[in-house]
Amino acid sequence: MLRRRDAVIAALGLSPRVGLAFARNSFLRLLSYRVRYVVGVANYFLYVSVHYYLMRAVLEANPRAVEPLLSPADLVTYFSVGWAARAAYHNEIDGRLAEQVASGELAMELIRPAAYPWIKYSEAAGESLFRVFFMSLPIFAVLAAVYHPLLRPPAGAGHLGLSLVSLVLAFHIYFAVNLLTGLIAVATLKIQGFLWAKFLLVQLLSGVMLPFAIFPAWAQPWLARSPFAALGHTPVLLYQGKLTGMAAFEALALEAGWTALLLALCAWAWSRARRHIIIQGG
Amino acid sequence: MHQAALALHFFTQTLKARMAYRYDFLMQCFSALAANATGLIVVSVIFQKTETLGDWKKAEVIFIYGLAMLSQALFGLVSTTFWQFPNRYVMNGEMDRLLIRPVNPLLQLMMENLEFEELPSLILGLLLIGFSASSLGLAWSPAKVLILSLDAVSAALMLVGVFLALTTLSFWFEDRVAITPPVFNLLAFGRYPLTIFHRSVQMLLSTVIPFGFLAFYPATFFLTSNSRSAEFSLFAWMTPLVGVGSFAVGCAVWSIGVRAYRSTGS
Repeated sequence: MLRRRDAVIAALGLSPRVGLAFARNSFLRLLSYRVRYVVGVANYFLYVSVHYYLMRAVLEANPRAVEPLLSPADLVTYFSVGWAARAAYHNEIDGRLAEQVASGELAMELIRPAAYPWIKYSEAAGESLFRVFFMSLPIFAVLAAVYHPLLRPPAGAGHLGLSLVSLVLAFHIYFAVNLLTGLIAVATLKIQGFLWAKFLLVQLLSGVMLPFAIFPAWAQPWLARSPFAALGHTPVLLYQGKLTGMAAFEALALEAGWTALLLALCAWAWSRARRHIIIQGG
Repeated sequence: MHQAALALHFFTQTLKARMAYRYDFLMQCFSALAANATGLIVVSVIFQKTETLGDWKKAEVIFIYGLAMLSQALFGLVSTTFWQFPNRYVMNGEMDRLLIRPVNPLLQLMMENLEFEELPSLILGLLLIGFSASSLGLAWSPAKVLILSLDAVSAALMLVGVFLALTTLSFWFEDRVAITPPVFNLLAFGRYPLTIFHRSVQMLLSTVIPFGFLAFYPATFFLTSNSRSAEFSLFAWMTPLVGVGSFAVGCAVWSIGVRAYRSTGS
């Protein structure tokens, strides 16, 4: 019985042990670029600061402009948690996939003993684990020190738990969106400009640049329903205890639905794309 | 004079080379424009919920944003130089090639890395300045147009100075990551009225890293509609000085760096 399960896993190329090896590799590779992460911490600190001061100026003119965020402390907490979360789930799979298509290196990936999306998933998981410890936590510590009384702890253990669940789902959504955009490179070969536009759009639609509440009223329900809400808006409001009860569970269920849909889309898109891959010399 | 003639020749050659790949060029224009457009969306979304941003009206903020876009687009003409320099010129030793030619190496470096992709941003910046000025009832005169052009060029020179100094550090530090990316991100503060930020940010951006002169200080000269502008008139007049001064510092650091350069021999 057990053997049959192994056979199925092997056929699908989803071996957990192989996946773990790729995750470990990606973790170790990142460890050798430590300076890059110190620079990253400085960058994220600046992102939070710019957006916080912009919103604070809005709040001074109109105290109810970004309800339910009502005070400078709410704003600091919102942007800090949002950008620290982004630092954790961020990866550059899309760009790397486009590079691999352009250079023909993709051929090497295809002969590895596991399915390509599964390799990428494992690598992204390893990278995110690294980023939690070497980026998100340091970023959070720096922000907490600089904006001392303003950066608030989570609203409660339960709120933190839901926020973490939401973040795990956010990792999957971000991974799927990046893999899908990267796969477009298989068809078009050159997508640098497109990747950049996607990068900016995801930032804008996830709520890390501007809270959803400041967008026009007609846009808000759509923003909250989009898969990108999971990348900022939802986990942050859960952390702050501003999304509770039925609404919290609805938001999480929606996020889970998007995750399942996008991952399924990845599997389907990969099975189609692999037949169109042109290995360019190399 | 000889150097200027060579520079012009370089310029036309690079322009031709870039235009040869038309699709790439259009794509890069699109990417450069996308970042500016996102910033513009942020500004217009914000002003749906508020009349003022720390004492500054929408048209005034857009004027500052437009001037920042214009200055940065001018800088964009030579900016790729700085992103490529550590890897391409120091690590791969291409610097050797520049040093054996009888032309100023800095001039060669900038001229062979010209990028024209910020051209649409330059036009968008001018349009934003034009629209906001007309909605503020600002009367243009030849003198004002001259001052605006001088300010934009000065701000671009200031950026060249800052990033040239930072890039030159790669002559000494083998680690290529350097501190350029966080400094580049500091530019985001320079696109908005400086008064909305913390005192320490204002101090930093008026002294060590003078990004306050990217747009905000020079813009206050034109934004006479706002009573706070008068506070900064001295800073506004200092813009060309800061531009030339910062450029001079950048060049000085560069020439020290060139003397310290040891080829990697590759």
